[in-house]
Amino acid sequence: MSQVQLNASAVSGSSEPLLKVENLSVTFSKEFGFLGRQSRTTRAVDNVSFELYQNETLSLVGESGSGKTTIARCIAALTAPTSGKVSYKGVDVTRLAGKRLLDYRREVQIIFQDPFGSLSPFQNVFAVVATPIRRLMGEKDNQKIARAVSRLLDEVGLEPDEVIHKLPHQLSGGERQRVNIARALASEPKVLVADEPVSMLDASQRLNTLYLLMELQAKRNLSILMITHDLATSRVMGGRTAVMYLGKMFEIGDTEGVLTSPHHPYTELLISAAPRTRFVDQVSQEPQGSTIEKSERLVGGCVFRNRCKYATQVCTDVEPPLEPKSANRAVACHNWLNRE
Amino acid sequence: MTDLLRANGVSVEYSIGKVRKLAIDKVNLSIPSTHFTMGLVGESGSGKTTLGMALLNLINRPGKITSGSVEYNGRNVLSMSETELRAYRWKEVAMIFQSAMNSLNPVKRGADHITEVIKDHTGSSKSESREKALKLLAEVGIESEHADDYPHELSGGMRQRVVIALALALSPKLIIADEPTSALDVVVQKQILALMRREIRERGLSLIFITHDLPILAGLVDHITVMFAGEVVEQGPADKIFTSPLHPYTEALLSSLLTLDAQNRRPRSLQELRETNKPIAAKGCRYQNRCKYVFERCRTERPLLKQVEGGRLTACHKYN
Amino acid sequence: MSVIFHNRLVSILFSRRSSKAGVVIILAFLILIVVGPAVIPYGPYQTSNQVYAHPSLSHILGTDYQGTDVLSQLVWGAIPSMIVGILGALGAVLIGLLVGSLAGYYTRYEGVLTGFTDIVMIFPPVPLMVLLGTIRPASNTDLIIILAVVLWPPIARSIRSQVLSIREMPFIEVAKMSGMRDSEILVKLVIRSVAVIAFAYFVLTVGAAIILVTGLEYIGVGNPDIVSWGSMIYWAQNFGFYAGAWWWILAPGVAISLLTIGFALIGFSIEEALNPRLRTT
Repeated sequence: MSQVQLNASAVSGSSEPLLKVENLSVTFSKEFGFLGRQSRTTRAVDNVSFELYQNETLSLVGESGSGKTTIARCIAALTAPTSGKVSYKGVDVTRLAGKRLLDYRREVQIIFQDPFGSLSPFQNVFAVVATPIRRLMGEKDNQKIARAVSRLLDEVGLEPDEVIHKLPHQLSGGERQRVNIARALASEPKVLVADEPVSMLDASQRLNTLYLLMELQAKRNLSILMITHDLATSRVMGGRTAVMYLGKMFEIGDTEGVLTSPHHPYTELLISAAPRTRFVDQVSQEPQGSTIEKSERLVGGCVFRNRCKYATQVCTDVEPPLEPKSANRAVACHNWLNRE
Repeated sequence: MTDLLRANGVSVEYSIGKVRKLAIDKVNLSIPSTHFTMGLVGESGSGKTTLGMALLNLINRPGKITSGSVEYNGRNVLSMSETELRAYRWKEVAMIFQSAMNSLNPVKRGADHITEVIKDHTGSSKSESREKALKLLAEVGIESEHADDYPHELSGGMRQRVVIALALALSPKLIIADEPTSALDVVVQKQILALMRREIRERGLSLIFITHDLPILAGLVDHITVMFAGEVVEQGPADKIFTSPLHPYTEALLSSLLTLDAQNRRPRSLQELRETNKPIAAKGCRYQNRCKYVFERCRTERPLLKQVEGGRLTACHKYN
Repeated sequence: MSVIFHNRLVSILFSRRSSKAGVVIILAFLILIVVGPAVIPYGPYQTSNQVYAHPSLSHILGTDYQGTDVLSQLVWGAIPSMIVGILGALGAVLIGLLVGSLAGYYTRYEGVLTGFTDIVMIFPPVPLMVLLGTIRPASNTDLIIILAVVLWPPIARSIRSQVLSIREMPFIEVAKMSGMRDSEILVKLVIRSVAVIAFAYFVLTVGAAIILVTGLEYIGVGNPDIVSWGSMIYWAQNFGFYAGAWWWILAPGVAISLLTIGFALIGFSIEEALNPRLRTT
């Protein structure tokens, strides 16, 4: 086990990871042209490996196209990997079907970015939260189901009697997302994958929703895989943070360390671009070291080199591997910034 | 001195079936001149987008402007004819909406969008218009090699740059932007905001920037107007709003921001969550159910927007 | 849930001038059919010696070659035409809904189903109908089946594309995550989502169905001795032309056109309301 893994497992108090992602790659290909003869392949996820331990939060941070959502979907068994493995408690999840898939869903749940799109216009709040109780837990007693639904809604800060009969369009954005959270937790999962859970909420509701997730985590001994493009979110959640770019993991380590002394140039860039509250003149300069997004994908070497102000020849020749560089950090960079 | 753009007591009502909802209630807003940048901030349902649309006379069924007036340089916007409105909406006041980057014509090349607008509205020849268009695109950061790409070949950030170039094409005096960066990644967002700031300052334009995300206004605008439940609750210089907010809602907004440098306090989150559920009051101050300073007068009397300490306005009984 | 359906439908129908006109037309026809037989003093099979009478106060639409009142034929004949048309369209929509939903939701069957749909669609409708019609003397039920078989493919294609986009919506995946089986999701969520637009397609298809069945009757498929709009045209074509009895020829044609327009107006309004990109106002 690498040093980074040792530290993460020390934090969670168990030596075996709950969820293990090994050399995960996902490639999408799109056919076009006459009779679909040509195709363009996109490597959404490129050889990514990491672990998630019990009772910890790991944030996957990256901009769009970084592959973080695809990873989340592989873990939720909604998308099949092209190569590599995702295992939960030692069992390969990519080939599950039937009852074993349902068992997996009971333990590993996901909430999506769009609170409104995640709710069917035909199901009221009760139906939404009751479905996993019926289907994943196999509960048939209506009274027990009703009690469980009430308890869950209360846990997420909603008034059960007020919202149970409401349809999605009758709720606010924040309320809808909380219904989604209640639904995800209904089967008492061990892992919650949260895909940009607050980015479509009003700014005033984001922090509270994250705090809610943290409270629920503490109460239920939950592991959270937080997918976000916003560093501030990963800072609030604490735990560990992994930075992703164009399908690759560039840096991983404990959140405070990554944010206060980033080792990878891309992490540095993300930090400088994040909005701040203190009224400082933030927008007077274009962020350092970045150029307008180029649409061509680079082959070989480091994918970030055309935007990196520290790039050297080796960055073009050799792809940097993700390696532990200090006690709590692994970085994929030839010229990593040693600030310790 | 007439204001550049002024909304006087504007109210907008939406009717869906039998239900009628007041989106904004007798709102005043004034942009006195060019070189005046204003941020309009509020949560969804606050009426900020409705106000922006009203300023452009874009309120359509099922909405209706039920009172008030909008004046541009003294001319009544709400009674303009279709031709006058067309001239107003691009040559004088340009708009940038969030969905704009997705409603670029998919079969028109990037540069052509701008070339056509210039040609149609200024009577320049096609080649002159294209030259101007290319120059404009270069200014917003789209090099000539990408100028003729189709929208689907451009990334989100580049499409938004095309939209900005379109807005600037006819040299308007004022730009109204409604959440122009919310669909963009954080690095791209910062680039676009920097671009907008640069263009606005260099051209001496006025700006109304509508958003629910207060932090991005820092450094971008000089003045901020805060809206809640269809009303203006605070108005003043941006730096003062950030450092010493007057209205309890602004205060609550600032303390609940998710930013990198925010203090990590842990409130009783369920309590706070339930608080944000509290309904908007019908009688008295609309914010009373969520306000930590609430007292008797708030329940019965609607606070009016009044001047408090030099150049700052707020609608709150604490200051009467 | 049906409450939502009805409310939406009603609000869509009455918010536009075009659909209001359509509703008026359909209602007018319904009233005519219900009230007509009680009010009109002549029967549709009742002959008289006033042959080829011009439209007058006693025979509002004149008489045909046997002295039978044209208006009464029109009113009585509306019933089979409309019923066959409506039921045929209903059959087409049900088949189209089934095939389209399965093709859109289950990628495994998509190739086969879409291919099958395309083949049926390419078949020229009129020869197909005539072919089917010669199997045996066609009763009304046979006509309904023929209509359903000919009209379902375009509906299936439209439903399939709707289902394809619904399938991508997050709530479908949430349903999977909550343990719902695919078949359950298909019925409870997907088909419900397309129900309203399927209704729009139904309304739009009724017009086509009525025209088609009239056409069939006109060329002799079906029973020309039973009064229907199609049979009216059949006889009017053969006898009325040379007698110059324009009222006899026009009446069924105008009636069909009006009714079809009525259904089309309603159908387009529903479709437009559900798909904002089609809006022109």
